[in-house]
Amino acid sequence: MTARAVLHHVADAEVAITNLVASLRTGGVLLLIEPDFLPVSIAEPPEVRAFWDGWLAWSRERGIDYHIGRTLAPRLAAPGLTQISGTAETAIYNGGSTWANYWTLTINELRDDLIGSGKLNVALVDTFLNHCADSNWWTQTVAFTAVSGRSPGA
Amino acid sequence: MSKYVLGHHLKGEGKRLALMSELLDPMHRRYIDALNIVRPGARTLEVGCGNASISAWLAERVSPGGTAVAFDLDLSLIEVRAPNLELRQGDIVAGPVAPADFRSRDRPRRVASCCGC
Repeated sequence: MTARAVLHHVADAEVAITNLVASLRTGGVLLLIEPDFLPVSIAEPPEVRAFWDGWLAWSRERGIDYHIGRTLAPRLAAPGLTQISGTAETAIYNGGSTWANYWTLTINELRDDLIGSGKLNVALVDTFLNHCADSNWWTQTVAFTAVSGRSPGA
Repeated sequence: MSKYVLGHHLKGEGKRLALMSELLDPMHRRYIDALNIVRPGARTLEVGCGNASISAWLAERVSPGGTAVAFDLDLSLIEVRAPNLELRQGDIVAGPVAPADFRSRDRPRRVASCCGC
C-alpha cells in the first residue's frame, strides 16, 4: 500500500494514517512519501527565500503541512508498525527544467490566492517566476521523505 | 478532508499531475522496488492516486493474477485503464479502505482478498 503527497493536504493526518494502517492486511507494507520543505530555508538569492517564506505562511493558513515528511516515522511507529525505515532526497534543478515548469504552472494556478492571502506580493511572485525561466539559476526546493513500515503478525 | 487548494477542476491540473508523475514516479517506483514485495499475484493499493500513473505501473507489476487498486477523492483525471486496475472513489479521512468493498468504477465486482503490498 502506498500514498504519495497526500497527507500534507488532509485536515487530520493522524486520522488518515490510522485509516491507512487499518486498511493493511496482516504483514502488509505501507509506504508513505511526503514533502519536507526544509531546503527552502537555504534557498538563494534572498528574494527567493522570501518567496518561500511567504509560500509556507500561505500554506499554513490553508491547512497544508509542508513539513510533514519529518514526522512520518514516529507516525508509523505509534500504531505499532514494524520494520520502519526511511530516507529523504531532494532535486537540484535550474530555470527552464521540468521542476521549474512544475512550479511555474502551480504558482500561476494559485497566483490570485497567494497574493490575495497577503502572504505574498506581486513582486515576490514575479521575481520567483523569472528565476524559474532563467537557466543560469540553480536551486532545490522540496525534500521528499519516504518511510515504510510493516503491519505486525506476518 | 480539508479543501484541496489544487482541485481537479482547475484548468491546468491534468498537466500539473502529469509533471508530478514525470518528476516523482521514478523515485516512487525505486522505493517500491526496494521493498521487494510487489510480485505477480499481489494486491496493491495506492491512496490519493491522482492520475493513477503509479497504480498503472503496479498493475503491470502484479500481473498475472494480481490486482492494483487506485483510490482517490476524484477519479476524473485518470485516463489509464488496465484489466487488473480497479478504480475506487473515496476519502481516506472518512475511514479505512475496506477490502470487501473494492469495486471497479468501470467493471463493478467484489474482490475477496485483502489489500496491502
